[in-house]
Amino acid sequence: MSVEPRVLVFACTYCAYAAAETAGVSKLQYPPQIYIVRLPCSGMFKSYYVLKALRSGFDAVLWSGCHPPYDCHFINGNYKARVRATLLKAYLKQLGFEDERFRLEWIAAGEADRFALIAKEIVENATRLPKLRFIEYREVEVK
Amino acid sequence: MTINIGIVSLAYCAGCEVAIASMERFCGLIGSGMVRIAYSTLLVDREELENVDILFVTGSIRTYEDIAIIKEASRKALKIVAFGSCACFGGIPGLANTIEREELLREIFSPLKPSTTNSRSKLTRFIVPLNTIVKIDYMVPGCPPPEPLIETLLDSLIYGKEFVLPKVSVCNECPLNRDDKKPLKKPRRKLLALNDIDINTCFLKQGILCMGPATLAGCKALCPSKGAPCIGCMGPLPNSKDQAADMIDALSIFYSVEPPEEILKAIPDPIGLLSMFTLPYSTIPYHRRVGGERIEKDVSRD
Ligand code: SF4
Ligand code: SF4
Ligand code: SF4
Repeated sequence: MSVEPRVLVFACTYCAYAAAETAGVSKLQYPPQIYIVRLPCSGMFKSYYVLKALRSGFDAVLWSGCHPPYDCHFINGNYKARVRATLLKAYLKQLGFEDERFRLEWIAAGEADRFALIAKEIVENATRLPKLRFIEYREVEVK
Repeated sequence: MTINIGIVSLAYCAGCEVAIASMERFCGLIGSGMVRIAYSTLLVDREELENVDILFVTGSIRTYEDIAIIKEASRKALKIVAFGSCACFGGIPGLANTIEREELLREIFSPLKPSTTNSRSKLTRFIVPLNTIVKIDYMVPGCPPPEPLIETLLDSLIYGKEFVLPKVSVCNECPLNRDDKKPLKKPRRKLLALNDIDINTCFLKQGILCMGPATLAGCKALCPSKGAPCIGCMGPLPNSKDQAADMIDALSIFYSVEPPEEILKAIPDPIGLLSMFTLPYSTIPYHRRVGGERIEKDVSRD
């Protein structure tokens, strides 16, 4: 199986990461193209991480955190992630990126099957998207 | 000793030159012979750029001619200053990075028909910040750079003091009142149209977009202290390249709106409002089409 496309997943340690772990422990299959980054809370997923990931060759990015309203261990991190994701989506759309490139999902610690399902879905969607290509600053001088 | 200053203007609006020329201190220095403007298409009558001590570059790089000019000029200068946000980050002309060059000419400039000869210089594919073309020694952001910052630059050029940009955001210098720590439930309006606001309270706290949290200090909060929100002309904070991303993070903390789509009513044009001056400088500096990709279905036009 090829490792393209590559999908970067940001997971909060209490819910989404726990779900990913449960998926592993209970031997649920999910695609190997998923790269997971574990952070303490969805409230600290920075918009810059998404821009940087897309620029550095990831095909899609997933943010995953705890279900609103009460699952977040830091009270309202998921609410912050939600407003952030809305704005970021609009920003990316203006830059010509497809909707499937960036997604926000809520995954509770017990929802291992949901994690596997979303992982499959997002990789499938990313497979259909063209590979991102960026020209460098210096290429501006090539007429 | 006289310091010779050359000012090279690329795709500019003349605001930067006016900012220098209208400074009392600068005029005083010229009067006393400390400083001489050796070249500037706008300020002095001289045909050729001679060898200078300091080269101020204003405006952004829009044509291949601009690139040639600045490369040539950089050989005649001991030090180069990127003066103004256009030179530092691409500036307002940098917003054209959302449109392809061909489309720009065809759909936006075609009714103008500027010249019948073929002497028009060709537009570059996209706008780049100055430091990607030549090595720069000082970066003086602002649109135009605020007086206190030009003062420190002059001090550094004349007395050899170190020139350092501030490391904090505009909010740190802002005098407006923001004691209330509650997040906001409702974003109100975009920018401007300011007849029903309290000019002594923080704009963001009143639901009006103010770029203060994501913008470099140095202007002594010029706009908020005069009753207008900051639009971010000083560019991003030192450890960041993406003013827009920083501001999105900040907004998500200030606004706890329900449903989250409400926020788009307050910010209908995220690129234009959140990276008004810094698009070519940011991590993704152009629309994907401009970056050379053919996009089957253009999502940004729906
Ligand atoms: S930085 Fe502002 S004032 Fe200076 S040339 Fe650019 S648009 Fe004009
Ligand atoms: S957000 Fe704007 S008005 Fe509020 S403190 Fe910061 S600079 Fe001042
Ligand atoms: S307050 Fe903002 S827009 Fe006004 S001069 Fe300062 S950085 Fe520029």
